[in-house]
Amino acid sequence: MKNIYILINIFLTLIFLTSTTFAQEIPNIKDALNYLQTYKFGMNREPLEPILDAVKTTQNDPVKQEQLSKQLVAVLPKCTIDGKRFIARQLVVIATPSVVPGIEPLLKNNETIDIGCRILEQIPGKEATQSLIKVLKQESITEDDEVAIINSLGRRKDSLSVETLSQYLENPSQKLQNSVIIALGSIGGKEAGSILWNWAKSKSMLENSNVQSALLKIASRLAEELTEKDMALEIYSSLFSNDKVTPINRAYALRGLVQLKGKDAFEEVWQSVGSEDTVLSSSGIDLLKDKAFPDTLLSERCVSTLETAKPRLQFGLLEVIASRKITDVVPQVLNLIEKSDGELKLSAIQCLSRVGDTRAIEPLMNIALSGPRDVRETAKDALIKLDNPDGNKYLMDKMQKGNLDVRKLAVELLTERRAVEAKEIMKNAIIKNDKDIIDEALNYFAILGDEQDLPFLFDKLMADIENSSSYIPALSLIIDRTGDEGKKVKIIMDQWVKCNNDLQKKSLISLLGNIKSPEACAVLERFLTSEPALKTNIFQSMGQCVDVNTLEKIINEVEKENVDEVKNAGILSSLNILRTLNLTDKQKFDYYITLWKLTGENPTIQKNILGGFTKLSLVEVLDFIEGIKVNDTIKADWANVRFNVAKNISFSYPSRTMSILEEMLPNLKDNQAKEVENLLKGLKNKGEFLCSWSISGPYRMEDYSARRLFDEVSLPPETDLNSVKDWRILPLKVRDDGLIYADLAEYSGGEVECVAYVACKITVPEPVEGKILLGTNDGVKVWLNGKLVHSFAEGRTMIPEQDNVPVKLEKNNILLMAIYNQGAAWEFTAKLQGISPEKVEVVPYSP
Amino acid sequence: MNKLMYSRRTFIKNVLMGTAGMAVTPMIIPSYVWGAEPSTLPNERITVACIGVGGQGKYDMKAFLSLPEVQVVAVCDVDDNHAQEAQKIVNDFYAQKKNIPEYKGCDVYHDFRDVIARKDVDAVMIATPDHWHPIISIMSAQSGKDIYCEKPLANSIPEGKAVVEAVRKYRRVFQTGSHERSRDNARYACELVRNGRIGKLHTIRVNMPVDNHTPIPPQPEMPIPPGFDYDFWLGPAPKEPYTEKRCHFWFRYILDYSGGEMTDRGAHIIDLGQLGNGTDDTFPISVEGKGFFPKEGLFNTAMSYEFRFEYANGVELLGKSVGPRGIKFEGDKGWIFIYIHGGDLRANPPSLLQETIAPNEIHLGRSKGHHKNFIECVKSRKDPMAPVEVGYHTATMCHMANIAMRLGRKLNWDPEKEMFVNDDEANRMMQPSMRAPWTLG
Repeated sequence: MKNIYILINIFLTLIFLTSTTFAQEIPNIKDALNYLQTYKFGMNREPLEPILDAVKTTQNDPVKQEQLSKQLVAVLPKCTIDGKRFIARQLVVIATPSVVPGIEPLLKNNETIDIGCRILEQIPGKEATQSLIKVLKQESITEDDEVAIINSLGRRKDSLSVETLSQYLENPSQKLQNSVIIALGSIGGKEAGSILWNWAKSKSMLENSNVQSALLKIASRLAEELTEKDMALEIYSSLFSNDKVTPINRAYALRGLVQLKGKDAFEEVWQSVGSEDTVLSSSGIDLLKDKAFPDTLLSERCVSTLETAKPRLQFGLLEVIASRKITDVVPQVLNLIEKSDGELKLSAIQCLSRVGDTRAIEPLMNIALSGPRDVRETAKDALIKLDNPDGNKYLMDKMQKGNLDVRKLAVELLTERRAVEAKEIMKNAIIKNDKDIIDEALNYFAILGDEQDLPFLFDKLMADIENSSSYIPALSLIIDRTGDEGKKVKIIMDQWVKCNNDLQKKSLISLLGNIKSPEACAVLERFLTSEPALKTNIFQSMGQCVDVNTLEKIINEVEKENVDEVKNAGILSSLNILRTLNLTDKQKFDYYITLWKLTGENPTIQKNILGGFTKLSLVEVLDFIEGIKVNDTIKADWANVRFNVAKNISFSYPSRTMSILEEMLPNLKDNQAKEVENLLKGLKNKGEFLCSWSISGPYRMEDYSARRLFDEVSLPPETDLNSVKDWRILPLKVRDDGLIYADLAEYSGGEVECVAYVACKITVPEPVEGKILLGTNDGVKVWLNGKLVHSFAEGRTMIPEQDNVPVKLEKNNILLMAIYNQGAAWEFTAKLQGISPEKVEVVPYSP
Repeated sequence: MNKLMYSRRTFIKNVLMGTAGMAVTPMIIPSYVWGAEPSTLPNERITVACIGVGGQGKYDMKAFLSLPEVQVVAVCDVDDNHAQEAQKIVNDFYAQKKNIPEYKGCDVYHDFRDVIARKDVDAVMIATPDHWHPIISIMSAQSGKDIYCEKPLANSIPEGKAVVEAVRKYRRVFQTGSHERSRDNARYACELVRNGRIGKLHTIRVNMPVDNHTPIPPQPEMPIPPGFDYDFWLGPAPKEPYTEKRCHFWFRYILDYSGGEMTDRGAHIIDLGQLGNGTDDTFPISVEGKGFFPKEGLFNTAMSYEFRFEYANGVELLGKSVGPRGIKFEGDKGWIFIYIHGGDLRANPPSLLQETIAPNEIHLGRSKGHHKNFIECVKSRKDPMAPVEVGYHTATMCHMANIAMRLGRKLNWDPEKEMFVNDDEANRMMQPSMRAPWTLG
């Protein structure tokens, strides 16, 4: 009977072996497996689809997966390297322990070891680990391959490898040692932890940052296991208390200690707060802020140590006291303020603000009224932010009962604290003309007043018109908050009917000016006729309306005016408008000429107008100013205009401007002199550079980055060049190496995420093929005669001739470029090659 | 020291004083009364080193340069040409800013480990190819640096998890570079959704067209350009022969380095889906998808696709590779569409876009810019707009979709255990591979 059972077992085993050895292959992958023998990555991957399908269909079928794995492994030796990689990606997903022996040979070849490691990392079970260990122990293995296998053992996190790995801790190779340290850290657990920990202690390796990281990783995981806390605690304690451990790791260890010991870690945390290292001390501060440490413990220690601790610790404690709002320590903080100087004093003041105890108010007010400026401002700021709603009551009391300085300060603080409950007493102070604090009270209303407060303020204004300057800011700001422009004007005009003298009217005219709206301007224009005696004030107010119609109106009136004072007020107001109005250079120039002619010989006005000319890039400016009479008073301004305009248009009008620049050069110093010297060199030696450009823009669109503008937006210069009116001559610069370029960042005043368009007209004798050589920062698009010939989208630095754009020039050409700015520097340079420069005429584009 | 707030009183007083005795002059209230930005003192600047300064890296670098509270002190790239170009941009910028002929304060590095070893570097910007993100992020955290890292957070789910762990254990500030999240319009749109303005949210539709990047033929091996350390560029990725279209911009279409459009702009768009759905701190519970992977050629990421995520709260996120790039939130009372990039909004009814979010409703906060937000958080030690967990959840969703497309079946996901349910293959497929000597520390 026994023999029959033995025979049956043998028979069944044979059947099993036969079924696995001669199992029916996964259908349709034979061709795919053959293909892998010649496969190179990049070739047609369709022939490999059957294998991918097989992987998918064998899901949840371990038997079929095993079959498939074996088939794949069987062809490995015959595959190309890319074929092996392909197989590896499939085995990563499905390989079983039974195929480990077939993978092992990959580990013994430097070219395939990473493939073998990758697969073995994913195969569950001890076989894969054992295979890796077996190869690791071979004598012929290279150091690099050892590292690869050690890394894989670490990633497998199998404690079976710990003993083998531990032997490498004594290896003289630092590379191997580091790998093993990291691997043990990844594996974790008590065994790996003990080995690494004991070795590190015995060899004084705790100063090695890899060891620290690995131990902390191990400790962190051990701490989560209830039975292994002791080792974690030991690791954390040792690392924290060793000042050769990096601060970041000591901080990590400290947090571990708090996690394990709770409030019993207080002394360690206390110690770290006073550390010289900011990472460690800030970790300690953060931990003390945590509710793990009860208020009583903290407050007791702070009370007894704050005043006598080292400054570093004092700073940390102030932060903790403020954060935890430990009011018991307020007397000690006040003492500290009294005894200390500098940053410590300021920090202590700020601490009181955050604690919010009203016992601090009076001392802080005293500080705010005396002492160095930074201390006073800090105390004031602390009172403004004092975190206690009763603070307002206290200040309101001081406002009514304190001495002059205290009262003023109290009002200021109530304003800054936005204490709406103080409104009534502020109002009373104004109505009663409380001279001590009336200015401050008016300021309160400027910030906090609303429409309801306007009637009494207007009454006060009218009654106290000699001091109108005190009331106007408050009234202006309140009116500004009230609503639409029409309403604002109505509020003021409702008061107009109550006016019974010119002073009152002048005040209301000022208020209208501050509105700056078309509605307000319309009223002011009407006043020009109805209130001729107040024209000076009316002009001054109209000067706030940035509108070309208002400008025209003022100029018309000025032309009719005979009184110099009134005339000058009108001219100054016109200049104010011109400074901000968006007009072309030519339009501004024409206005400046008109105003100049109206000016007479008033040097103040003339200087103002000359200042306006400085910003224009027009040769007409030079023509004009070289024809005017210049006296000593305006000579310097006149020369400044001439010089700056000449610089701006130098490349477009070289013959006109070089002499001016040469004339000015001896008077210039340092950077300015260098800039002009370079400019003159460039003017004399332009070569192939394209130097005459007009610029339109910059253009920005909300929520559109420069890249998005490039990808998605076509702006008017691209779509309809003739419709663009804001073309100006673009100033150019010359580098020390002779490169002629445009600095758009400087031109635009630092605009970013935007695009500017530059254009020129190029005339050549006959059509010709050439090249435009470009360097741009950042992206660029180029159109020649309306056709896009080049584009580059990425951010980059400007390098001369970085883009080579072949072009076919007609006799008359328009070259348009869009230069994009993603940020920081924004510039371009351009050359035209293929035709002699003498035969090319380039002028800035104009419609 | 806290900065002092400007007092309106100070300015108004100045105005009063300036016009004392000149009652005839209009009282012009200067615009600066309404607020002014305090200047930044040198000792309050955050020093930043930029690691990976190719196309996107230079963009990020310039964004940091434009912040007055930042000093860019180093650039690092395995391509010397990129590194030197970036160095010049930085030096030219500071020279111009300081109005001096030359500035030489920006150092150049080849190896990021030398950068993070510098004690004077407060923060790093990482804009390398995706496969490098986790290693550099983790090592930077271990060295005590705060991190701005481009999206996706990592090229595999476990690597992403390791980054989260390192950032939290070392208490570093981490901003994922999913800058669409910082756009005011996007945040407003998500607030509208979160506050029920479109009714009950049921569907999120994501359009992620793959631009003009079509499959390309097999590429020949080429000589490695001078100055480019190709082996270092490969790093933990498998060793492959160099060809131009494998590197720099093109890496994103090769699975060894990236996840294709899914992890490229998907990381932006799906990220907004998470924000609008209120699921930043979790994952969907299932994913399925179909994708077209090129049949030959160098690129092997999906070039067209459809996918579907299902959330525990019943919301579906449906994605496809056609349509205007953006995301649409559909509820039972309307919808909102956010264009990517740029944040332009559309809604039905259009009046939705005039809605105000009341003080007691859900507010998602605003940012003054993604890079500025990061720097502010470096100072305040608070989490920025796209902290590490947000980046991890979003990137994980992208990887889930890629795995689902490759396996061709629906996969269930356990949001607590952060793995696929009952699907060993999918779980094994999400594991990274790393070529020695590189590994996660």
